[in-house]
Amino acid sequence: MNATLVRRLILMDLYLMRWPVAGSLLAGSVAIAMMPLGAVSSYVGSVCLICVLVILNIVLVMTFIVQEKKDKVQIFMLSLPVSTTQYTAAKLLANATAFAGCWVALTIAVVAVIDASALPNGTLPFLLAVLAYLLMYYCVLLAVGLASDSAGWHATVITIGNVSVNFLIPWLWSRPSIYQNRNSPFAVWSGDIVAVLAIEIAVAMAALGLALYVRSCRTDFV
Amino acid sequence: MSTSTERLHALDAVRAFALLLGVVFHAGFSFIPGLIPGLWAMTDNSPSSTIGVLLFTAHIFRMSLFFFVAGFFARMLFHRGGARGFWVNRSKRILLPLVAGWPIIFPAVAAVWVWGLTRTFGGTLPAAPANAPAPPPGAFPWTHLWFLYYLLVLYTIVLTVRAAWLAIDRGGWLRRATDASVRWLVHTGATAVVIALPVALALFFRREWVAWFGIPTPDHSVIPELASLVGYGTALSFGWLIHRQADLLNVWARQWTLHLAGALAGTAVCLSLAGIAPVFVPIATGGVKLAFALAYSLSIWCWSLAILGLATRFLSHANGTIRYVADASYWIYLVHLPVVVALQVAVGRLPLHWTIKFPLILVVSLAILFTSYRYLIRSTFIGQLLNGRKYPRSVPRVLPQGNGDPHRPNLTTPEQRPLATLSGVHKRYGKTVALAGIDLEVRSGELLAVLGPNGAGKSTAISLWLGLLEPDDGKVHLLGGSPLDVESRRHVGVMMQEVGLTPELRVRELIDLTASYYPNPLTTAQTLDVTGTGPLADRLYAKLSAGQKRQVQFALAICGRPRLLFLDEPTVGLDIESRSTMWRAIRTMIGEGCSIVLTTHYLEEAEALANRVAVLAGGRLIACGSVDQIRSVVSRKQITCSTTLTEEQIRTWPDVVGVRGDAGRVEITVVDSEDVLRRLLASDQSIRDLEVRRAGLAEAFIEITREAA
Repeated sequence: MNATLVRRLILMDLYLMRWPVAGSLLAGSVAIAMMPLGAVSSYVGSVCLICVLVILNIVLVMTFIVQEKKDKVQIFMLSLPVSTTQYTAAKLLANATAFAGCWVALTIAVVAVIDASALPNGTLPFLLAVLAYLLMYYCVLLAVGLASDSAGWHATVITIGNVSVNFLIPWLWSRPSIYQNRNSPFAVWSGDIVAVLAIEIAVAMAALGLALYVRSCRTDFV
Repeated sequence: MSTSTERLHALDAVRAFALLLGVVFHAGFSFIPGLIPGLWAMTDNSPSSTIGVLLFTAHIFRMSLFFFVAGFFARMLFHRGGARGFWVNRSKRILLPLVAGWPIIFPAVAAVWVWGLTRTFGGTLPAAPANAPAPPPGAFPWTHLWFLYYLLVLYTIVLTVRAAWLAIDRGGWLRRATDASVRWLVHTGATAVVIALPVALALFFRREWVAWFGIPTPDHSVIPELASLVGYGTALSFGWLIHRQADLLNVWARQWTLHLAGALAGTAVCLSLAGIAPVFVPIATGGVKLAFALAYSLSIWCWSLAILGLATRFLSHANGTIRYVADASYWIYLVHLPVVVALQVAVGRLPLHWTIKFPLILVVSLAILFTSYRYLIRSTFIGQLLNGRKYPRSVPRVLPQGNGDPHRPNLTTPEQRPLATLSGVHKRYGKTVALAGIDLEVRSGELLAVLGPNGAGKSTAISLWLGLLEPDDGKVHLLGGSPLDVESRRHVGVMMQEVGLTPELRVRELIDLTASYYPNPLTTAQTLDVTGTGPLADRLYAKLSAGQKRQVQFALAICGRPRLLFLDEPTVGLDIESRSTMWRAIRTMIGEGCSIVLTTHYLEEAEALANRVAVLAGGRLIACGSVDQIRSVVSRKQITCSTTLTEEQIRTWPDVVGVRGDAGRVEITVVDSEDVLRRLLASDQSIRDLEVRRAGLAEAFIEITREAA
């Protein structure tokens, strides 16, 4: 694979994604800054942070992958001396870099704020599991965006992804290891939290792998 | 995929894979669990079930796959050089290595064997067992070179059958029926099932069949083994048949997942029946034997077709490394056995795990074998013998555009060679036929106008040339390679009919970015100048009008200084000045040697620019030739004049095809202009402004497409 070509495609996409990413970083930072200000603002800040990451997820995938396919930008790109593998790799890497960069920055900020503030460190595993879920949700949507042209599939994944967060949070919170340690000054990494994190990462990787496979089998792009 | 002058990179790779897999097979043999001491030169002290499964799987298909490819290439050779050329070539490439190689390789193998057995049995050679079976009739220790002998035997059989076949089938109907049956079979996806049956029967009815080792290795007698003959003969004959319709390989390229699934399932069944560890005694006749024979034969062909499909799909392009390995693989296979076995003997008693010893044997032996090929064979008469050519000591790294083979003479001059071809291409969208067996080529330095009504297949043809679509059947070539080859597309410019560009970028940024994908692009200033897009340079693409967007798309198509330019209805939506600018740019590019494929609905555009015109309708090529040739298809002429005669009067005359009138002037389309002219002059003394002209491209196009409909 021609690394220069792929790098150029990635840089172009990152350039185009600069405003959504910058906006998300700003909004996410504000949300995190609200967390140590009190019980209500902690709740509001957490919800805002989740919303920021969900919106960024949908904007990145729907605008820079799905919409590009609809606008036939993909056909133009594939008519250039660019192979489908190079194009797919570039799209995946650019999109994932933009989201993951934002996600990592905001996650580090969350950890730093919890560690430095009066917020109990016992909530850290819970927050990380929720944030990892959002990363998994992004990977699944990215995979479906890359592999499928069906608006129905995109809408289904977005709906399930958005709704399922509402079930995940109370379910995670009710885990004994999280609930009992919520006010602990130390983060307790119990077996079920580690399992949840491992499943989230595995699903994310599997979704991306499957998308690349499906995409590699595709031969018609018009 | 072509079978005429182009090298078949995918099949070269498959043949190399099968041969190198043989090296892996032999390298792992000493690690097979339960190996009886004395059966192989060395029984390693660290056996491995993993290697057992690996070797079992590899051994299922490697030789059948090799014989299939051999059959394919044999027919190609036969049809290139005739019977005499075929046998001369085979004598050099097969018979001579066998006759000259065996006397060297056999003693080397025997010496290593003696060394190995001596070590295995604690320093002394074991005595021959008292109940050792008598040598078979015609006993001869071929060693692993038996495949050369079998190739010669099978070539003889196939050519004899072919001669008999031709004598019976003088009208060719039997061949057509066979081809049709093979084509149908391949398209159904059931090839493996049908082709496995003769092998399965031959194995099942073989007495004393050591099932774990599949098709018996016929390395000990000059009298051919029936089961081996059927197994490998089926493969070679099937390869021969497939060469008659080489495009069927593309069907397997689409079916590879199906065949791979079948191969894995079949192999799993075989292992469950025969066990992971080898069994060195014959399988008892019964249901298990039948099930094993069926599963094993099915696995042979599922593996073979999956690998052929994968190679066709992913390795059809010229690749210097694969080419080198393919050339080296024949030499490596011929001489590998003493090297590999010597290494097995050397490490067989070391207190190391097989995960260290097996890779060590492979790496060291391949290093020795590749080095010997590089320095002793490739540039010598032996290389000439084995590879068909002697490579110079230093070979240019860059393959030429043509056939990807630096040593194969080009049979045509660059001017004569088509830059892009569609050969027998079919393409459907669901039930809609977009192209139905199109043959079309683009020649160097020409502008080929592709005309046709909406839905004729023009844009589909361009998409196929660009690799955006895959043909259901037939061959597509672009600049001597596959349309999927990025290297070929570096010399191609494209303006598609319906594309989007990144709306957030400015025109200058789009040109900069697009030009950066090409090796020798125009500067941005040159591109803007040639296409008249200078005033748009700093505007956002999203803010441009539809016509301006087309201008920018044209600029992007030419900014890479292409050798071949595809323009799909480029002037739709352009104003007159922009169209003139584009025509001027197109003429300049043709003058500089660029070839252009232009699809358009504006026939005056084709008439003004094209050297050649191809007319498509209903997915078929219904006319192709120069503009004059196409016009001459319509023998009609048009007479225009001012007359007092009415349209109705004229319409009734013989040879008048149509009449159209407007304000005292009539336009008469005629078949024989002289007779109609005489009658006009006789009927109307006051006739004025008389003009006769030949039918234009528009009339010809309408006539041709109407007839086709």
